[in-house]
Amino acid sequence: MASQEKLERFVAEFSERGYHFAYGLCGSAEDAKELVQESFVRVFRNWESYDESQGLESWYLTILRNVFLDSVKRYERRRGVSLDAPLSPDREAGGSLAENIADPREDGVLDRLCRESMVAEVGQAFAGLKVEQKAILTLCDVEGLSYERISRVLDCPVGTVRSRVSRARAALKQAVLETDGEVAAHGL
Amino acid sequence: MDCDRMKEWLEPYAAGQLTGEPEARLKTHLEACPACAKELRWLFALKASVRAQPRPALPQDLRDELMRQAAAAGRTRKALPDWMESLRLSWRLAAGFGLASACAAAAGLLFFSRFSSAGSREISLDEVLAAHSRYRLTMPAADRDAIFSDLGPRLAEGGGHD
Repeated sequence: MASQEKLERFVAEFSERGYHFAYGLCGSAEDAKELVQESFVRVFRNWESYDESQGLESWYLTILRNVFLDSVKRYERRRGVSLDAPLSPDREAGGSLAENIADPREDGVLDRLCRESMVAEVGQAFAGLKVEQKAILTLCDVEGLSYERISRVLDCPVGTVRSRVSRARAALKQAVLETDGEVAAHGL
Repeated sequence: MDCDRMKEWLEPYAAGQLTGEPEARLKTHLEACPACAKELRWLFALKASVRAQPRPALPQDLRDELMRQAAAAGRTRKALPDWMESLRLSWRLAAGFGLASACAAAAGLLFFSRFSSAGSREISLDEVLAAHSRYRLTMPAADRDAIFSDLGPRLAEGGGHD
């Protein structure tokens, strides 16, 4: 098959997926567009070095990971902050979802969450997470990747993926509770 | 009950990545532990909410631009005819062969020049001057015939420098 056909098929297969992933990370259509464009430029530039035994998806995810890491560095430079710094002590604390201190509002929030009537609040809470937390939850929940595949994307051991997912989930839960509290306080 | 251990398994369980004995133990535990069961409800609810987030479709202009870039990159690669592409792929082999040939030629030249100079009837000016210098530096201790022993027979055969 001609290279052109392969490249076009690749775009057709992965561009939508790459865009959703990028949008989940950035929360902005413009930034997501930039991220996707850059990842595909790298694909086209390195197409000759693609080893077919590796599998196209794994190869693409590796490129996506590199673009993502570069985008994190750019983000840090642009904002002048380190993404390693915790957003708030509460969100960074808690090794797992279960270790959070019981919140009296939890039951009510959980009931509404289960009825899927809090999508907007969860979106707001999600947007406030650290970039790497958004990345790992997007890969896990939206893309449905296994821990093994996430470990390849993020270049870390499976055990680290497991603990990061757990911490990101705890941070999201805490953020949802905080967002719900703010909404209640402001009568929104 | 070992809630701490069980809670570590909740996330992989919710992701469908807990199997075998750990999965069986967790299921048994969940039936008896309301606290862990509630944490699992949180997990499922949060995962569902993240999945339910609206995601914009890939902008058509971005899709078109990527397709255009793919076509351009493909055309660049197809600019070379197939036989040249084959040659390009084997350039490393060709380069290796070329280097080996060059080394062999250099070795042959060195070998030839060394032996051809020793066996030649031609005597260079440098050889005569070197022999003369050796004689002048060592005389009268050195034997003249020994110094010129190498040149003597060749001179006797009628060779000489023009």
